Order: sequence, then structure tokens, then C-alpha cells
Amino acid sequence: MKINLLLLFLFATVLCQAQTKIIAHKSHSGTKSTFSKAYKNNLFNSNHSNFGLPDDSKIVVIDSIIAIDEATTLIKMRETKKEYQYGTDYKKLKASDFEKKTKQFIKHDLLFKNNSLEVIIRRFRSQFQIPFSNPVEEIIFIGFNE
Amino acid sequence: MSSLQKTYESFYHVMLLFAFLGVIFIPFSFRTWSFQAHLTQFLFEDLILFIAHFFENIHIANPTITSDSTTFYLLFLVLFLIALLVRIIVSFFTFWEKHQEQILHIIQLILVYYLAVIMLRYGFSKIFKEQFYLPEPNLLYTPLGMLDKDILFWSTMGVSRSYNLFMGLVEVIPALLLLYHKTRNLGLFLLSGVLINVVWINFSFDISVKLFSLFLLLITILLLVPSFKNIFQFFVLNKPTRLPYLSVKQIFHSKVFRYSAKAVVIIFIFVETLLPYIQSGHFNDDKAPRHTLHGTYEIISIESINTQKTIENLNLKRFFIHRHNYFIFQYEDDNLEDFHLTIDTSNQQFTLIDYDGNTFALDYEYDEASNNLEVRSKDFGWVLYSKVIQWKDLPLLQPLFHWTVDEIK
Repeated sequence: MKINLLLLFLFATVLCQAQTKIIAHKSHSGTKSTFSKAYKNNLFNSNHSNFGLPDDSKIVVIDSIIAIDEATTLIKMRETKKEYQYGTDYKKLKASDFEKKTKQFIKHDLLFKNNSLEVIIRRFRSQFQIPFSNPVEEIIFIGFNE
Repeated sequence: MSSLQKTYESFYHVMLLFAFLGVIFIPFSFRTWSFQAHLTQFLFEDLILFIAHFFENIHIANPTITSDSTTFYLLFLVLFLIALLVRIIVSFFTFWEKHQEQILHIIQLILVYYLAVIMLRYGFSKIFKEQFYLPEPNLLYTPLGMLDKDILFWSTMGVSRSYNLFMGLVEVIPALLLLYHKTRNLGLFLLSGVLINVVWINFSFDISVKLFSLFLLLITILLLVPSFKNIFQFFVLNKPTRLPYLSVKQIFHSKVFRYSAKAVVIIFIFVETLLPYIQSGHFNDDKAPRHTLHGTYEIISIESINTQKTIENLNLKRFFIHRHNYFIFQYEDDNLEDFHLTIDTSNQQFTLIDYDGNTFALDYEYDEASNNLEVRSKDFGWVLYSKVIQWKDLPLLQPLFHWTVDEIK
């Protein structure tokens, strides 16, 4: 399924944090109790430190996720070498602006070989610790339970 | 030298070293220098958690060192102890005895430039209306008494472009004065007033940049300390005086080195403060583009649909689409509930995620001609029929200025 998200909103997932964490949270009518949850669990990029300033961030694009065995999962991703202002379109950046990275996860709560791909896709954005810019549907999943 | 004077000097050295360590390890959001956060986390996270382990009352919800987090306070404690230790150790070395003036002078210069960069960052983000942004529609429709002090302060600042310009210049001008040795003391003097105001605002409105603003004020005071006596003589005793000033020339005699260092500093300041605005072309965040669906929607009617799920909370009166990916419901009693939002424009779908990780799918249909938005959700068991409200027409967002009260009609 081809998902065509509007870029502004897409990148906002990574770069949305402006001002202090708590003010950014209250700006969308978040309560103290939901802030506590978001802060504790790093939800929706709530843990960016910005000292009351608008925040720039590195842009992360996840290319593929590979289940190696029951416990081990590899994530192939690209991260920009420098930080970009809110609203920057990652598709306009050059390949040389990114550096490739591989992250290994052992016994991840969501990313394990026997987990259903449907569940992973549904929960990935909200439960994965690293905020990323591309739609989940563009990520290639290899070795998971279809 | 009396023992009191020696103790005072040693304490001043410790504080300078502490400020210097803060410059290196405080994980400030520099645009081109992001390794700080990683370095600090790598070096101090375990130590901080170890220290916290000994205190029952210290609660760490998240170990990441960020502004006003418990770990940030503990980082300050650790840096202060390191500064104290370093000062004690170096006092046993003759190298310190011989070169302490030069070393302290270099630290003071680093602190001056650090302060300048930080104040320029804050100043320009106000001038370009990025720090105190236009309040989001959901806040504009929240009754005043239901807002906390911090977000109310932020929103009040956000509605006045001219005050943001003024506040920005109040930070930018003293910061620029810091860059030239002859105006450095004036810049520090002005900044001390600016920063006292910032610290007081942060404490009075519970804005979580308390510790960092105190740190900036500490740097300013530390840099002003050598001039205190002369300032007192001038302002209180009305005596002619000459202020001591910090200059790169006193330390580095090579012109090539001085000019190269200055060029690097100026390029760094430009990249940190102005380049991002030039690159993005947005010099007033109020006018930066928003998503076409961003805004306020008044619910005209709600229809329940056949679903096995329980229909919850039909007392909805409005919903909002926030510029930074949030969908917010407002109920009849004015309480609000927010969800993280993803918009799939090709399939006309909203995906909402709550703070427990539950996902809700919503189909939408937007009619541009009538400004009507229909939202259908099997997960919630309803169809919402809504209409766009022109939130920018609210009185708070209208220009307002009167020389005389007689003009007001």
C-alpha cells in the first residue's frame, strides 16, 4: 500500500519538539499525567532537550529491519550527519548528507522473529525508541512472521 | 595576601573551572555540535545514576540528561565536585602557579564567547518568532483558567510580534557587544539585567530552563567579578575609574592565530544563529506554512455507527489538528484529550495513538468548498460532522494598539 503522507507532518514526527519538553506537551493540550508517561517512555519524541529553544534534530530514515533469530534483530538505517530545522524534507537531501548505520537489538519488546508483521507495522512508530521520518510502509521487513 | 583573600580567589577559580566544565558538558542543543549530549551521557550517566542510588528521595523517571531533569541537577553537582578536585590537585603543581593567570584568562574568554553564542541563539529565535510561537488553536479555545502558568506565559508572548522583536534585540545587542573587547563589560552589564529577568520568569512561571538560565547568569557574574570594585567606584562613589577588560590580544600574540580563531568563531556563530533561517526562508514563524487541515473544527452533529465497540464520550464539541502532529478532542465541559496523529492524505485516513500505545483509525472526507470535515471511526463507533472555524479571527489575534482610550470604540 502506497502511503503518501504530507511531508510537513511526516517530518514533524522527528522534529516537532519546540520549546521546553513540558511546554511543547502542553501546547497540544497534553496533561501532566500524559507528560509523565511520554517522558518516561520517550513517546512521540518527548525527550528532546532544547532548553526553551526551537529544536533541530538529525533526520533518521529506516530502510530495513531484519529478524536474524528469535532474539536478535538488525535495523538498517540512515542518519543525517548534521541537524536540520523543523520542516526539512528528507527527500530533498543528498545521499552524501546521510551516514549509514546498523543497530542491533537483543530481545526487543516488539521486534522479534515470531511477532506478527501486522502487529509490528501497527505499533512500530509509537513503540520504537528512535523517531524516524519515513512512513512505516516504506520499511522493508525481512524474516518476520507474515 | 590574607587567608580570606586566598580563599576567595580559590573559590573564584573553582567557579570558573565549574563554568568551563559546564560549557563542555551541558548538552545544549547546538545545531552543528551534537556530540556534547553523547559525550556527557557516555561519561556521566552511570556515575549520576550511581549517586542517585544513594538518595531515597531522588526519583529519576528518565536517565537522559535534559533541561531541568533530575540527572541535569546531578550533572551540575558532579561538575562542581570535579572543578573542586581539579583546583585542589593543580595547586600542587608549579605549572599552575606560573601560568594560572593565563589559564584563567583563556577560560574567561571561552565563557564570553559561549555566552555570546547562546544569547544570540535565544535572541534570534525570538526575533524570527520561533521560540514564542503563535498559540495553537486548541489553546486559543481553552478557557483561560484551565491553562497552567507556563503555557499561558508562552502563549501570551506568542501573540505579540513587536514584543518578541524587542525581547530578541535585548538579547542580541548585548551578545554582540560581548564580541568586541572594548564593549565587553557593557555587554556583560546589560546581560546581567536581562538574565536576572529571564531567571525570575523561569522561576515565577515554572518554565523548565531554571538551572540553565541560572548557569548563564552565573557565567555573567563570574565575568563581571573582576570589574565589581570599579563599577562600585563609578556608580556609587562617583569616582573616575577604568574597567579592566578581557582581550584575546593579551593572551595570543600571533595575529594569524587571533584572526583565524575569530573567523572560526564568527562562522560558528553564523551557522548556529542565522543560517537555518536563511536556509528555510522562514523569518516569521507565524507565517510559516501549516498543513491544509490544521485548525479548529466545530462539531455540527455526531452519528453513532454499528460497531461492536462501546461508544465513548459523545459529549464532543470541537476537535483540533495541531501543527506538530496531534489530534485533540474538546468535550462539552472544555476538557481536552490529545492523540498523536499521522495523516495519510492519499487514503484520507487519520491514525491516532494514545499515550498507552493504542491505535485508532479514522477515515476522513474534507470538502474544500463548504469547509466541512467528516470523520468516521469504527474504533470510536461514530461519525463526526464538523465545520472549520476561522480561529485566526479570534480577538486575541487581531492587531490592537491605541494611543488614547478615546479612540476605543
